[in-house]
Amino acid sequence: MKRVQVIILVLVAVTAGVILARTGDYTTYANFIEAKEKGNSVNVVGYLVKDKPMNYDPQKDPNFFSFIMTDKEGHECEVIYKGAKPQDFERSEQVVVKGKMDGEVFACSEISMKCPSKYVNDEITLKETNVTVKAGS
Amino acid sequence: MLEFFSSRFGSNGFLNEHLWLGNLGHFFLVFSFIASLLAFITYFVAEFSTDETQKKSWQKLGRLSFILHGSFIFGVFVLLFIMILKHYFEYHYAWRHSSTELPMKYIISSFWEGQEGSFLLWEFWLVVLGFVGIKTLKNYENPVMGITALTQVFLGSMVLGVYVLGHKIGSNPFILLRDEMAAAPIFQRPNYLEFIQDGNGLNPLLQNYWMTIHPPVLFCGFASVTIPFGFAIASLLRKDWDGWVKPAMPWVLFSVAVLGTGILMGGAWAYESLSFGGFWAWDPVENMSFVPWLMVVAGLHTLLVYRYTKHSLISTYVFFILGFGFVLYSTFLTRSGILGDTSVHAFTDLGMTGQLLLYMFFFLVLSFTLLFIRIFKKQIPSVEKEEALKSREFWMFIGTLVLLLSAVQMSFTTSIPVWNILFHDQFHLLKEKIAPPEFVVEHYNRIQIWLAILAGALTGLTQFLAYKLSKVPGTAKWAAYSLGLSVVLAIVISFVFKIDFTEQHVVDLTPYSISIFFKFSFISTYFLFLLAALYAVFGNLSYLIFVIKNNWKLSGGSIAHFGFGVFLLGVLISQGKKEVISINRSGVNFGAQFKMNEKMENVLLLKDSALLMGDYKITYTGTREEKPNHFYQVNYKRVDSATGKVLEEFTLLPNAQLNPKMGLIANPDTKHYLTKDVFTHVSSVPDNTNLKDTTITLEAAVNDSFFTKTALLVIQTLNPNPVLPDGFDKTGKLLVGINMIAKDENSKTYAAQPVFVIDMANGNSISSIPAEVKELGLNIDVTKIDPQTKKVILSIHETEKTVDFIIMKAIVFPYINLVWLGGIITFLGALVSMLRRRKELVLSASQN
Repeated sequence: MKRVQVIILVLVAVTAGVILARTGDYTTYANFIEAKEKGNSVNVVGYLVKDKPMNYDPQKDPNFFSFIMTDKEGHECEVIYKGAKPQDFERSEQVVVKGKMDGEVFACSEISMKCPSKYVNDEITLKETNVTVKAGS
Repeated sequence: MLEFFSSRFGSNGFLNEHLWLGNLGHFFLVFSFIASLLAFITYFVAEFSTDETQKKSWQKLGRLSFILHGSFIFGVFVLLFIMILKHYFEYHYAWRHSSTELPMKYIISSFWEGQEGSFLLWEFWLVVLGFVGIKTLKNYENPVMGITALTQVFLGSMVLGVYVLGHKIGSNPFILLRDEMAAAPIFQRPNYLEFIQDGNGLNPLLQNYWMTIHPPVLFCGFASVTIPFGFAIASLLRKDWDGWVKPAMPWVLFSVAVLGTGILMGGAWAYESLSFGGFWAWDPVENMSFVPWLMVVAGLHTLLVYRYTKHSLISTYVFFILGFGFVLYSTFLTRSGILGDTSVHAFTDLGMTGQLLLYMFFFLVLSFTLLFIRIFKKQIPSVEKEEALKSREFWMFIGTLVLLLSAVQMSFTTSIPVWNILFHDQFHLLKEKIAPPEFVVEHYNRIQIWLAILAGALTGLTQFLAYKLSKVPGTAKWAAYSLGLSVVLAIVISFVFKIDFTEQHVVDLTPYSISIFFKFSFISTYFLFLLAALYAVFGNLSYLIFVIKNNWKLSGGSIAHFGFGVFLLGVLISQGKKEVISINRSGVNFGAQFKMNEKMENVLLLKDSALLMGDYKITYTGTREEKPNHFYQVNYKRVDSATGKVLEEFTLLPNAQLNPKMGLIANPDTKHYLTKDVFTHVSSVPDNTNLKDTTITLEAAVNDSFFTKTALLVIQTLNPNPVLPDGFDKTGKLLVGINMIAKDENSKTYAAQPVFVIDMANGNSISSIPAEVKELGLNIDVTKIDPQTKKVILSIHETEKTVDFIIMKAIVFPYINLVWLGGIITFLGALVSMLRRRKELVLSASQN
């Protein structure tokens, strides 16, 4: 075999090895019950429970935010986040939190939220008639 | 089709619409599409016809069609601009992406905010490049222009907006609002336009000057990748293994320079206007624009190897096909909606997933089939003798493999949503859906840092080696000297900057660090990275000065590689040594679940109270509103700790758009120094819109005290001679002042005196003069006094106090200018090379 072929083979093996080894970084989706069973880092997709209190008192600690969330199966859980509360969190339509369970609370390292109007804002609000029209309806 | 046109031209009875524009625009789109198809066909007929006169006339037809196609595209371009500039909100695109209050520079950005506009921008550049190609491609014009035209067919169909057998082909930017939202009752009215006062506006994140210039450059880069791809395919078709190398070279270099600049400008935009604090976040969209560039750079290097040694031809084809293929794949990922929540930049789904996939497979399958046929029939020449271990070509080839590895790894993780669809939804190989890593940046950094180390080291070293081992005297010593210098400097810098991987607030790279084996802490990945970057800098610098000397013609490569080294150095220092100075010290620790470096990076700044962060005393001094932006004035003072003298003072204005539709969109502000940047970003502001007012009514007597939400109130005396407001006529009136004090939580006392008034001259009618304590948001009124019991009835209205503070983050990026400087030098180096190769081509043409 030519040297170049050997090098290519070795590099393919190394790439495959590194990529496979690093798939350990990948996370999965889970609900809160599964998150507790697994114990490792997961993504939970769900909704903010809007009628339960959110806890963010920046004057006390600007890096602590907690809220109650339900996953898609309806399990409720308190989520804590060490950071500033995302602006307009109340208006979120869907929330994805990354992190792991810590006892009875979900300690989350990243919150992403989907707002009804973010980026795909297709609402016309008309001044006079006050009709709201949704695109694609 | 027929139905479509009749609906367009039938009398519709709507008022004030500018239908001519959309009709003309759509005509242009359809005809530009047809013309590009025609150009593709005629150019390829010309390519394959054997008769010379036939060839010439088909070529003429090809040119004519392409020029026609280009003119239509320019027409569409102008019309779309007019539509946005004149605010023709009857068109969905103008309404969706712009608004009347946008300044000119952002109106231009509205053009490419949507998918349709960005496809048009891409087509526009390919037309421009095609025009240059018609002038300069000479005997490679037919196949390369044919493939350019075919790419235009693909791009043009994305904005066609016609229905064929019930399938929507492309999305037309000239669609009317009332067609897009046909169900809305408003469009029953002939005068509906009168109600649509304004457009939806441009996403505030895109309202940044970088967004005006970054997309055009990036799309020019994307478009330019077509030409090297076209050359590669043309060469394979013709079995002309050598003739394409020289003419392709300037185009490849152009692609490297422009696409690279476009990507880096994207980084500058992210750094200037996004809040994550950095220029690169390994976002899927960023990655997928970077990967094609890596492939074109790899192709450039193997093309050079082939030119000087006849090695690596097949790899060159693979790289150029992959470069173009990755452009298509990146288009598919970002525009099909498949990335969903994993990227902030992805476009919304316009229902063209199938179309995008089809094109990608069409180009990739055809190209690779052609390549494999040529390989298996052993038609591609190859050199029997292997590259020598000490030859330049060998290490250049290894370098391109490093770039390939980097591209493969980046695409692999970016493609997680694709793996889910393939291996979870379709083939059930995955038990559960996978999601991106929890710490995305660290995931990529851990792997890519090794590839960067290899790339840096190879760029430093390889210049000193010669093609085919031909001896260039005296180069070896410069290679050695620069290595020595790099080692010394790396050690010095490690100590000066305390580059030590055990520090937790820098990016965590320890798992792969060799420092586990070598207890010496600077022998770690960072140290190797630093060494590689320095070697790339000094290796190329010494090669430039001592080996090439003043021969500017040959300097392009070394300049570009020197720039790359400077860039790597900038990346390492600015990211590795970035320091969040806004560390909050008052918070509660929430355990190991939260990584140290994620902790407490936000601080609360109350208005006018200073806080010490890093070297700076920082004060939030207030808000200035300039619609639609709120500018938060953050004053920085550097104070000499011994004398208390202010050494330096500046004010940053991070701003936020309190967008009614999208909430708070924060834009950071940065103080730029030569050697560092101070980056300031507002993460949150108090919500003062939903302040609750309370009114309480109570009965009380003198010496009674009671609490409101924020104060303690005490009634002291009833005063028959109260202080009255100026100009109050007290004749004939009985007055009772209620002397009160209000104490706030800090026991600060305020006096208040509401007055009860009985107008005896006016039939004992009752009125009052309420008292206000502004500082506490109190308004105290007296509604009744019982003359017997001396009890008063008070109505106390309490406005919740507005608080004024910001929650902000401040980061110092040392030497981030090296990143931009390195990028600019690399661009210039590629430009020098491009001019040299172009000159070479012209010279060799004139000699023949």
